[in-house]
Amino acid sequence: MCWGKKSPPPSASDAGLNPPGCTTAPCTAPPCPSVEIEINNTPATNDDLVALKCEHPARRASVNSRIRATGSPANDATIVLTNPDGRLRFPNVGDTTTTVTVPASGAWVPFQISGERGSAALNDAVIQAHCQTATGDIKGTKTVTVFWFDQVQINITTGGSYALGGGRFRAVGGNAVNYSAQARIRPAGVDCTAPQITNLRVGILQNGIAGVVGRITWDSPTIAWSGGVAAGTIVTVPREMRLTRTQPTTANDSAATVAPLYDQPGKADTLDANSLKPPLGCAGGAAATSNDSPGDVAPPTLVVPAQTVAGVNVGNITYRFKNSTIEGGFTTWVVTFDTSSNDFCALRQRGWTINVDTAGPAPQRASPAAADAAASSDPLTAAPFANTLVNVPANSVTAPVNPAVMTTFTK
Amino acid sequence: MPPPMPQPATAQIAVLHDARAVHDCSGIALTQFIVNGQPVWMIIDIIPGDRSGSALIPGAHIQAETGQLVTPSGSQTVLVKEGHWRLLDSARQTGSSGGQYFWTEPILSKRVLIPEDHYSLFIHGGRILTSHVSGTTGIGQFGPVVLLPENFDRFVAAAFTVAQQTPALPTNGGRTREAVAQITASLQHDNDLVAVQAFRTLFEAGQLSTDTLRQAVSGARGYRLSMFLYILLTARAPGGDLSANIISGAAKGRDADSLRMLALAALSASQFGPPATVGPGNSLLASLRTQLEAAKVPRGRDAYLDAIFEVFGVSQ
Repeated sequence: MCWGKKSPPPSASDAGLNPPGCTTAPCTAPPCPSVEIEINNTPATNDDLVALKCEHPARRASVNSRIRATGSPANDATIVLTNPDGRLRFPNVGDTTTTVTVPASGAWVPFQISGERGSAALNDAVIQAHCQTATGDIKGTKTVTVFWFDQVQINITTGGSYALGGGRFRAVGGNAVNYSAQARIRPAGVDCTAPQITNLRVGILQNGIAGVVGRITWDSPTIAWSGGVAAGTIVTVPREMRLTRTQPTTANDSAATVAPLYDQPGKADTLDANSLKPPLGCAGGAAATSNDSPGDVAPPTLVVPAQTVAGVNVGNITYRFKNSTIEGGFTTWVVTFDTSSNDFCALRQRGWTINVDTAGPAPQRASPAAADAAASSDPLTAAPFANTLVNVPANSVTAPVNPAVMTTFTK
Repeated sequence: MPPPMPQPATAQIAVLHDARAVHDCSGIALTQFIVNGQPVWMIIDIIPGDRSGSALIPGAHIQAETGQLVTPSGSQTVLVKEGHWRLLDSARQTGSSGGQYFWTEPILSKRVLIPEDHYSLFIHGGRILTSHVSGTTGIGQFGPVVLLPENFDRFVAAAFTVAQQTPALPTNGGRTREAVAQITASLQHDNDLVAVQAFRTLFEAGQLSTDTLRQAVSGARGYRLSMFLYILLTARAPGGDLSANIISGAAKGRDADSLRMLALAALSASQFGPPATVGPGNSLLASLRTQLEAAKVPRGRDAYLDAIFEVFGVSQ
């Protein structure tokens, strides 16, 4: 459409200088109508919200929005959406503006927004609708709130100490570690019943770090000779045997029922009924809690038959339990978790280690890192999970502790 | 008269045995042992072999001449469970009065442990209510298993008779006011299994009035007391603050035997209850310990309590 003198088709030199269909002055840009914008595609204002972008993993939650011309304009118009305060994107990181054509029919035109910087106050992110260019006349505005979280903490406290009992080496008097994770939604006053927030919970995600997770050592072998073994028969056996269990790669410490999180309430593998909580600042907001208590069996004996090169069984070697260790490292995150989409965002993280030994001095306890820190890595969430890896037969190896140190039995 | 129960090897194993028995009997579902309206229960003793609980490497051997460990590809160290079982009583004629058992289990890292992990009756032994499944192997041959505390086998036959006379007792479905009254009366039954089944059925259905609940707990003794408290400690929904009040008040004015049973309930919840109930169990144990300290009960006066606190990780 052209509001000036109709001209021949544009030359290359004219391209971009005039409105479509116009090539030379006095052809001028068509006037733009006033526009109306709806965030989240609703006229309600309590859902004019978008989440701050997530750093770990890198993800921008986008909110579908729309714009339309008002006042029955005679023509379609080009509108450039901007956000001078820089809190929003449309929706990718480089999209500081977006251009839409609003039809004269008044039909809605979709666009998306995402949160680049958190709001200091409600509705402080302003979308401006400019006519034709980013500096054109403002034909409408819309305020938005970019919500985010502060007072984020992942606390890990030591609970019980380790002891041998009932055939297990396990934490007694409490869990090995207890978790408490919290985050407060900001800015104050956002409507937690809005669709962008209502399914958000604060939870816990944990990765087990690759390495040895436990060793069981048996020593002091004795032999029970088989019947008919000739006097003078000699049997040489390793003095100590050890079962070493390894997690070959870092993996999510979870189970299919609660993944990607470490824990969720109301599932088959729930550890703590309060493991998902609304953020502080929302109704029911509280710290999410859970716990961990790695443990292992402590078989009192290991029995291995002794056999000659000819394949004759000459006796059973019984090793006595010497000691057992539980080892490993973990990274634990406080995350926001969308119970509808299963998307999560890691906010802060904290490590802890365990290196307890039945033969060590009491008390034997897990060791949380001194403090939490801003999330600096993406949690791994894909299967296989940590326990699955440890339970692969190839990752549990029983072998002599020192193949050169032997004990000899003579019948 | 059945033979005396096999005695656990150590005091710690003994209290773990009792803690599992409290867990198992508190959750007893008599319907598991009734098929087509007919009871199919059996009471058997599990007597583990000397090697039960040991580790083995299937197919592996040590070469006698060199001491080299020869391990088949893909083999994994396993736990052995072996021994024999002996029939003591059953609801109907059975073809066998006993038999052997043997299987192995891989040593696994587990997120959530089951009662058999905390106290393996196939390693440490015990008297169980079961419905032996012939033709199956492994742990499955024993069907559902309920470890019985000492002398509880005497309650089993009568409990099934009561269950047949009171069909609403073992089920949690809708019931009439008359049936509720009947089950409530069962709380005072001299059969501990019946009383515990009634307590859990009513409590889970929210049909236990506050007064009745308090009376039932305050009047309970022995394992019945442990089981009532275990049900309160591990309840998910009903009860709430009321349960907490009753639990915290349960220790007041109790004799030494009842304190022992309270501690056992707490240990059972701590070790065998759902993961979410470890906290309440631990709290009650800690509270009992504080009370005993305040009462200046010296360590060594009660070996059973000492063993409970040792399993819990603290010395009395």
